[in-house]
Amino acid sequence: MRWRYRGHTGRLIRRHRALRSLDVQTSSIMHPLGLTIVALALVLYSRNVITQAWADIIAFWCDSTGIDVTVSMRQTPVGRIFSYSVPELRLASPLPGAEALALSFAIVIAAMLIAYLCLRRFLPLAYLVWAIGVIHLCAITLFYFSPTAFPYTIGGHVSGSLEVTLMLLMIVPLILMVAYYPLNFSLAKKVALTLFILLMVFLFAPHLYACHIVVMSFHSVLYMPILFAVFGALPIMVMIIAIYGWGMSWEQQRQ
Amino acid sequence: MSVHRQRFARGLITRFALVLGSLALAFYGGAVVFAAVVSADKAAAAPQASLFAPKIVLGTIIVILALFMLRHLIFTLNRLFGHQRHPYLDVDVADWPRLAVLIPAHNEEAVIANALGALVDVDYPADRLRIIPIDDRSEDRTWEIISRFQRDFPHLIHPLQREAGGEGKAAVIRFATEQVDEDIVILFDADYVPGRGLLKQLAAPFFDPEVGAVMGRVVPQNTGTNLLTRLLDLERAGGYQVDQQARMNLQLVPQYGGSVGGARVRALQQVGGWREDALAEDTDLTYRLLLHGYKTVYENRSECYEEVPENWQERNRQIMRWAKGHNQAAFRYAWSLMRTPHVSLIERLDGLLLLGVYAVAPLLLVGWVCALLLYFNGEQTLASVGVVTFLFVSFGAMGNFAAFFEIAAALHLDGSGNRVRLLPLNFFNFLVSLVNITRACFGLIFVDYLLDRDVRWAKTRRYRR
Repeated sequence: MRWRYRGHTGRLIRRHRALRSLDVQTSSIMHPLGLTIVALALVLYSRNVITQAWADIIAFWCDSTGIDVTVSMRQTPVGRIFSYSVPELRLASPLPGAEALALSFAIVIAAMLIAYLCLRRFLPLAYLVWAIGVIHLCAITLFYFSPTAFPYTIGGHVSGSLEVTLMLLMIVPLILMVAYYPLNFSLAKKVALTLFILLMVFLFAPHLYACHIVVMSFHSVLYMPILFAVFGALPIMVMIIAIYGWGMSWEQQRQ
Repeated sequence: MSVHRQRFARGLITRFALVLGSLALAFYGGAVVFAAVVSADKAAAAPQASLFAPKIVLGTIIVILALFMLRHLIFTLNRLFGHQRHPYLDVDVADWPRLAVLIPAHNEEAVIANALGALVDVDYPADRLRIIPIDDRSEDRTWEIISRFQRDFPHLIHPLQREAGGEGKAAVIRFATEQVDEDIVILFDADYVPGRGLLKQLAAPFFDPEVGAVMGRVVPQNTGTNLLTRLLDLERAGGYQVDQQARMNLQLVPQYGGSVGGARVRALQQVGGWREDALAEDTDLTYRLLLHGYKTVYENRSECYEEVPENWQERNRQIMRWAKGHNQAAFRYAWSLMRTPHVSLIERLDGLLLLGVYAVAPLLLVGWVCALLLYFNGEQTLASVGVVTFLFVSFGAMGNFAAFFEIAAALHLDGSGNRVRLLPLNFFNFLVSLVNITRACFGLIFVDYLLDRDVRWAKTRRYRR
């Protein structure tokens, strides 16, 4: 540390936060470029291994919970030279009966009322309950009037959601390229954060969608819209942002 | 690294950000088109009701969001690595202009003493300073407290009492501004506690004749009270530390924020003074000054502490007032801004995007509805693109549209370590803002405008004990 930046006790006199900015160093340019390329290459190279592992995890949990499912891999070409495989699941997609619809309707109305009357202090929670309620009421209406018009099966829902998760895995290095790699963290921290996010998404997504399968297999596809809109990509994004926030709180390198 | 190489690297980073942003925009556009093509194939295979309109609406909203995200990405990289403009910071010894410090107060007994106590202690020539607390029909001990300060500091404190006239802050400061003969008016809300050097910092930019208004940084002082105050602290950090300073750096349109700021009286008179019917008199003034060729300057070093709302109901009222006021300004000035000869093209573009920030909330809700509509009609791919895009923006702040990485960058620069771990919980703040800004927008259009109702001012509650 230069003498001119030392205070009375010998420690660094920090610049006021209003005037602080980061110095452009070689690493500010090389880290984003290098790490993004490496992380993207890693995800792209191991894409089929990732999706195969997802298929195995989902098959394991279906087997453990007694759900009869056949899991295979479907190749999806993108252009002429690139393709990726996605787990394809074949399992029954039970439609909701009249009793289930009535019960679900009653629960949703009760939850929305409770949210309206009792959750004033926890307004965000009340809004979340209301959003879930509105989406679920749409689903109940659809299944009440025209149950066969619902265009999805459990297998299709899970395949589509895993496909989106694979895309998210590819987007993660791009987010970090602008939001983390240029900052003054050590290379080891940048690598660690990248691997941690990728690993957590890789592990979390199949377990999340296995839960979807269990819920829908035992309680019908009535819950699919709400699982898609609120309990699908959202928890995965929350996890990515949470880990990113944690990474941002790590100690910075002194400039 | 030498200065030359630093400059070269900074240029490289800016270009890199632009290329990257363009790529991101192209990526989103491509994804939308790809999803539309895929779903069109499906539709051809199994004919169904036309979903053309929701697809177009969803695609348009995604592109608008991408444009805003690109803007904030550029702001973030500029604030982190760009050249930081603080052109008036070195002005320390000068022939200081005469200042009138206005403090509008309506039932402010809990906080007014702190504000006045700090102001009588500021480092500014006493013969050039007049502190004017304005008691606007208070029913508590506000006037008593102000009178006590007047007795103790008769040369500094020159209070005004307002017994009649329109409601709201704009009406009060218009009333007070008409009675001052100073060159500059500086405004503080009654809950603000300025530091000793703040007035000189805020007065310095007015040596520049092009400057019409100045704005300092607002820092919440009751951050640790609960989750809401902590989340609002993140929002303020993103908005000031990155957003405002980047706009200052890039010579765009920094916003005068109504408190911890001031205006040149001559410029004010030239643009017609404070508008009493403006709910966001700050945004209103920013744009009127801009349209008359004056600049608004942001001073990141001029920090002042404020109270943020401590419960969600209060927060709702605050953000709804801001949203209504901001959209009022958008209706009034967007068209004039597009045509004015005083403003550069890039300022015009930024000014329009800034005017549009509170219109994004209803757009986002419409986007969610379109995504759900498409989902229920078998368009899972397109709906997923929409949902993932909306989720990307939903960890940021709504009012200033600070993206999550912008908030993180602000806290990184602030050196405030663990606070950034709250980032995922900002989803809740976003959700509440989304709903209430949308309510305010619809209220402004369908209730206030169509029924020709006056927009009403809602005072923010104070919590200090």
